[in-house]
Amino acid sequence: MKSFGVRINLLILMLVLSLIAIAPRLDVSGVEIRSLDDVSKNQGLNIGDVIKSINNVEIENPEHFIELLKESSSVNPVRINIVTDKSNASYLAQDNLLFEIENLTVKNSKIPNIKDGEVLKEINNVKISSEEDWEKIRYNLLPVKTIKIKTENKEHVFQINKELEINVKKVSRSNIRKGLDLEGGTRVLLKPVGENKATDQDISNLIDVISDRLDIYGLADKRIRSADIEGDKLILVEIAGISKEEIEGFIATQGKFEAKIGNEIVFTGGKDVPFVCKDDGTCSGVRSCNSVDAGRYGCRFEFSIKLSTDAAKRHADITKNLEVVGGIGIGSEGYLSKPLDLHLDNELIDTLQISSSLKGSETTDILISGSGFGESEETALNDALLNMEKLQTVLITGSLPFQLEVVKIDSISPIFGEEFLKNAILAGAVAVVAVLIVVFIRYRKLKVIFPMMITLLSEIFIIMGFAGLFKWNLDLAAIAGIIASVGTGVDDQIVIADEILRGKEQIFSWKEKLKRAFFIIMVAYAATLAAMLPLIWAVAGLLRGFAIATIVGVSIGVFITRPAFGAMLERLMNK
Amino acid sequence: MKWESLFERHYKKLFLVPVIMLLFSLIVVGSFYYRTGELFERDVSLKGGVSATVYEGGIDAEKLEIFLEDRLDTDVFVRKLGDVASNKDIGVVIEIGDNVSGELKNNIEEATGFSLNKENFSIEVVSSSLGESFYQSLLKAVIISFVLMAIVIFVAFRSFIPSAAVLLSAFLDIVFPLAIIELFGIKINAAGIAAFLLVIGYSVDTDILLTTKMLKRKEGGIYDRVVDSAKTGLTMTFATIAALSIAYVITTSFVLEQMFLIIVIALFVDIVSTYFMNAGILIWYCKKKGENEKFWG
Repeated sequence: MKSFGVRINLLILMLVLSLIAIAPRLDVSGVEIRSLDDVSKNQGLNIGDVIKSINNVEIENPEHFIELLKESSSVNPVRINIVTDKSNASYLAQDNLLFEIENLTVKNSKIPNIKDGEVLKEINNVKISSEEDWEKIRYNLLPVKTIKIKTENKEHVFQINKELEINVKKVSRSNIRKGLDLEGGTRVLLKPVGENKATDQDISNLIDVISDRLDIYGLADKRIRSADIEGDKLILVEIAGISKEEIEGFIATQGKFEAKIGNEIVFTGGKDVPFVCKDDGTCSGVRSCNSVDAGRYGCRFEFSIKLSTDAAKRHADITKNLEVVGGIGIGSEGYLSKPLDLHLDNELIDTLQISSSLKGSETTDILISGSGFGESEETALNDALLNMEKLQTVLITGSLPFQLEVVKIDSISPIFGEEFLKNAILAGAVAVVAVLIVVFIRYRKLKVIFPMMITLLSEIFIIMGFAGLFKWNLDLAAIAGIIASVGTGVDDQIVIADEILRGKEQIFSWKEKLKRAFFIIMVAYAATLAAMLPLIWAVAGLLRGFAIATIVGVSIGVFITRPAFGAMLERLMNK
Repeated sequence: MKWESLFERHYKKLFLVPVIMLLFSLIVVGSFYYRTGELFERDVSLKGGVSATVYEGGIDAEKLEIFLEDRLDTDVFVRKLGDVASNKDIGVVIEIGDNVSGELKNNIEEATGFSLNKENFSIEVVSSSLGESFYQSLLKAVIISFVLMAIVIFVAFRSFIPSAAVLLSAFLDIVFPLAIIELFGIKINAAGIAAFLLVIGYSVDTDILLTTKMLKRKEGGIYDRVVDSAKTGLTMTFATIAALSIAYVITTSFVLEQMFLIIVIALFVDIVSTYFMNAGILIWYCKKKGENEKFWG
């Protein structure tokens, strides 16, 4: 068995390891989950799972998936006929009955004809005379659909009563992650502004809160890290596949939520609110839309929250001294003299009247409401949903310890990212060919060109292996770095080739020749390393991809591929 | 032997070329600094402002520029974005020094009639304080790189004049492309500065090769060694020039385009700085050392 020698074997080993690290995926059918809602999460679907089919229809691409998901998970509203002891109503319902029942009595009714306190008698022609009757029918009232989602490993079959929100992307072909400028998305650089300078601890708290917020918002495909620039501590947030408008206002919002009666704070977001209803139509959603002006619409949303006992106590203390106003007529409840004002970042977003029955009570259940506006009912609805989501998010996560200023925001189109990638690969390939042509003109020997080509391609491949192993984000700058390190690679190979091909009349041994070449290569390597190192830390690490790609590239070259090149050339020339 | 004797006869005259180039670049960069108080013109990423790209063909760049200047009441710069490979008009890039990101999108939509969304519209907004920090941070990086590289060179060669010659050559490789870029009126971006760092790396390759051959090798006369190292070094440089100038033509990305342009100019300069300047200094140094050792006579 003939051995290739240590240097060539090392190269072969590295190539194999790189292949494992890159882990190219041959089957790229289906779509990969980028983010998903609670309903599908609870069914065991995860980010990164590859969905193959919905209801036995094979998925072709992300657009096809969106269409298919809408089709198979949207639920048509059904008509509900309800009769109570005092009145009756007929209305359409989709994911919410628009009322609750306690002891067969209507609660929190949003149906125009039906008032709280009426007793339920009949629903959809079924008589209700006991709790059991109600329990039997309540889950069959709303429309449900069964959906079958098949992933690579498992089939998930479950029932839904509203449209699923699953965000997907094309299945990645390998472990190599594309950077933002190649994949499309938004990058925000945030600077905390406050009276005191942010400490490392502050930054790490900020990162936690922002990360939680994005999770709640359903944006799981994100990267957040701290970044130092000229003594300032900044936070870099990158979110793939989302535009500037969708994120800008939200991410930098300090989210200081305060619910006040007069000037006294009853509760704030975070600690005071152990539970916030979200993504559950029975206790959160847009309840009504109306035209408010000519060409202007408004929608109101509501969702329930639970207060901590401390906050409930505060509520009791503050409300017990308030007077009851209104409520003179029979059956109509009065209100307290001061309302509950909801402030978000010092702006009044809504005012809620407090029912007189809550005076001095340690209530933990609160219904939060707000509104959204727009030029059409649809835009108003979207605005309301967006505001609701924001409010829910800040109530869950609490406020940020700092106000944040957006110092840099980039938004890159995904279509162009793809074009850039193709273009950069083409540029790299043509560059390699150009190098080989120049070298061929000089040496006119295929024995030199062939090992050189193998070396150049191996270098690129091993750099990619590193990229896959360490989950770098391969961005445009990193591609420039790869092209650059291949460029220095060529330089070194030419030095080696020249030393080896330097006429037979010289008495130096192969070893001596390579040793001489490697002095030049090592000094050049050290100089390139020295030039690239500062860039790892400069500009908040935005050019880190470039610096690391270059450094890794030249290091692989010097220690692995170019010694192998020397060995290959030596063997070929000695024949 | 032809090249060796040519070089022997003319190396002093050849030395004038890099000297003139150095003076020329110092004058260009110096006068630019005198006029503007800056070393070079920075783009949005280093100065702050907005850079937006619309990926739709058939937009009249000039008209859009006038329209936006009128609407936003500030200097607007619009350039076409073309794909050389397919010779397609793929869009426009809009650069504005002020932070007007809010009004920009609607105004572009009004001017072009395209509806902009995350598929066909990219935008970069940089606050001026951040741009300034980036600029400072990159300038520092360049200086630190140069110093670290200098330490490597001094440690490797352990003698002052040959090491200083390598540094002078690297300096010319940086400052001449900078002058050219300024004359063309190109604004330098963050990646462009990173390219200058790469230039440091590329530049010293050929100089290290030359210095090693001239100081550490004993075979042949000094002129033979210059020509010998030039054969290797020029192959290196031309291989890289070929690769990067083709990549420059092909690429549609501004990030890569500017990097490749700077490196290609620097590589051409490197031929002059290495073989006309550094070689000249080394020949003089070897002769002087020889005289001192009473060896070269």
